[in-house]
Amino acid sequence: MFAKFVHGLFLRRTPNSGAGSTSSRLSLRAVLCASVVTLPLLLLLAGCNAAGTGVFYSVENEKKVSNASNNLPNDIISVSLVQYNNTSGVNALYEASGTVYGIDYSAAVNTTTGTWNTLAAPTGLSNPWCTQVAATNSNPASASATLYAIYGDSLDGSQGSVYEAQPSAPSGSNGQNVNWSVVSPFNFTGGGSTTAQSLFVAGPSGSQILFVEEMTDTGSAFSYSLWAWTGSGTPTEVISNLGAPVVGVVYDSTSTYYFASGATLYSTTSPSTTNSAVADSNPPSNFPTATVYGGIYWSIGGGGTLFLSTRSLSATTGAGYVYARSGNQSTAGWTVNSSAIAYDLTSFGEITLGGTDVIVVGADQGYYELDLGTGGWNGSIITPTQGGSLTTDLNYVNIPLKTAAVNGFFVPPSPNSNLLFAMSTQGLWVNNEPSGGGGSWEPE
Amino acid sequence: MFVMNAGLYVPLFFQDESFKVYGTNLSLGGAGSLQWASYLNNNLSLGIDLGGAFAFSPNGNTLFMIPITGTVTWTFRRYPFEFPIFVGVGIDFLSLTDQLFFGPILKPGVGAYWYFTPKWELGLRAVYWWVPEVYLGSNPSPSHSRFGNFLGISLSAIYHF
Repeated sequence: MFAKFVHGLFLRRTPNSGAGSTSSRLSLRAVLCASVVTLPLLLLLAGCNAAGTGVFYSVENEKKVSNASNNLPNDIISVSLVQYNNTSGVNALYEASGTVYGIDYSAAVNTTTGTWNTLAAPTGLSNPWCTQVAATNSNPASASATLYAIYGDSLDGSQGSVYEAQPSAPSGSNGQNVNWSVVSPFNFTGGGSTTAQSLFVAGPSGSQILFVEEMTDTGSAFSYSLWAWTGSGTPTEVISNLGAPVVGVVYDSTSTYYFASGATLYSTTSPSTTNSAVADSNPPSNFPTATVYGGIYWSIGGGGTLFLSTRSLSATTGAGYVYARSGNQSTAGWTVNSSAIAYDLTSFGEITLGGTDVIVVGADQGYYELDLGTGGWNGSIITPTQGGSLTTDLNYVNIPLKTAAVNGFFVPPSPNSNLLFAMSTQGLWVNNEPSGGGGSWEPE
Repeated sequence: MFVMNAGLYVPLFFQDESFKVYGTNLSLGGAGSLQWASYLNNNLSLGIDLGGAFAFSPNGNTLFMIPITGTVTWTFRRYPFEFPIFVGVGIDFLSLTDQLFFGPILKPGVGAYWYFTPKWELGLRAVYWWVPEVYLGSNPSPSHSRFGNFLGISLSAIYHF
């Protein structure tokens, strides 16, 4: 049957053989000739690529991503990266991904040398699992610089308690002992329904506050509370009985701390006062339904700008918006992208490219760029595009980072602020941005 | 007739809009195609060709190309040998990770065949793939436009029916 069909379509005609019917031959010729001529002409106009980077251009510029021989696995889920810098000569980066890795800061920013080595977990834990690290008073270095970590005694990170240490310089070998001690007010090693969930650091240099988010299983739901601790004494409960996790705490460089939980933006000017946080008086209007905040960030540009990102409550559909409020936070309006990004958004970072500040925001897949320009952010969210001066991308489109969930960013202080670290579900990545922009990502 | 081809795919070079030459950064790959064609006279035939090719980027990502072309062939003969020269024009789908582009393609080529039965020919085929990837808007930027140049060298078989 198929042979007969083909016979009818193409005619059993070979050189020097008899002819088929004239009308069939002409119609076949007409179809073939028409398609040969018109199809490419149409498609010359119809060629398209929605990815933002030319296919040939991206492969032409693709650089082989090398697995740096620095002892940091490429398959870790990196969730936090901090700098610990004290006046005793210790300056190191610490990264949490179940295990805490440390590296000498100078070696880390000189990306051709240095080795990450593991830190020993606190004693007494049978199944230690670190979910967060934080460091206070480390930029600039101070005598009171302290490294904090949440360690749970289970592989799922539950029953987390807060530990503190003032470590020595990285030893260059695995299992370095850093003399962890549990922070008594946040000691949940005895079990129970409450656990330390997240750590945030905010506040003026030299007097930074460690904010600890606690999660309590009430039996029917989870309840969250935020505590402020200066490093000694009794912590203060800033807010309690939240129905959603706190996504971050930022300080506006004058007096106000902002944080977000669920679909509410909060602020406090006195975190040392119990229940001092209140809902912000000037939140984004027309906030989309079934959406919560995903990240918060303060930029000193634009007279001080508060950035918020969003994520959808849907398990299958993302809804990424960025909101920005500059200047007078009580009265200024919000700038927001006009249409949602397809992926939920997470935390922010800030880097300077070609003399212009660029905000990067992580997403459930990859990350995006916000050009602050000279007049502040204009509501445009940009997919990193190869080439150009105002982009972090030279090879982003063809590396695993593009499809990984990006949990956050770390930018070292000057003079190494040309480095951009990205913490992702496919490892820790670093981009060494030249001053002209367009740097390449490499696995750290 | 059916024409069946399979062989090597050699990425040659890219050119930008000013025809400056760039390396492709691609590995040697593979290509294949199927063509149905019909003779209009003793030497001239028209056909439709469905092909495919692949090559690898430095990080192991696979560049796929799927061209669909209409092909015009002029065949020189000195029995039992045939020497077709042809040009195919059509559409090409490019795919690399999650990037997708479709645009025009031009595929000129030559072949050399031997009739080893009255219905079957075997031979070799060399096909040049010229693949414009042109952007006129702002995303991607026109500076990302490239003309891809590739060479396919394949074993080929023709079945006459």
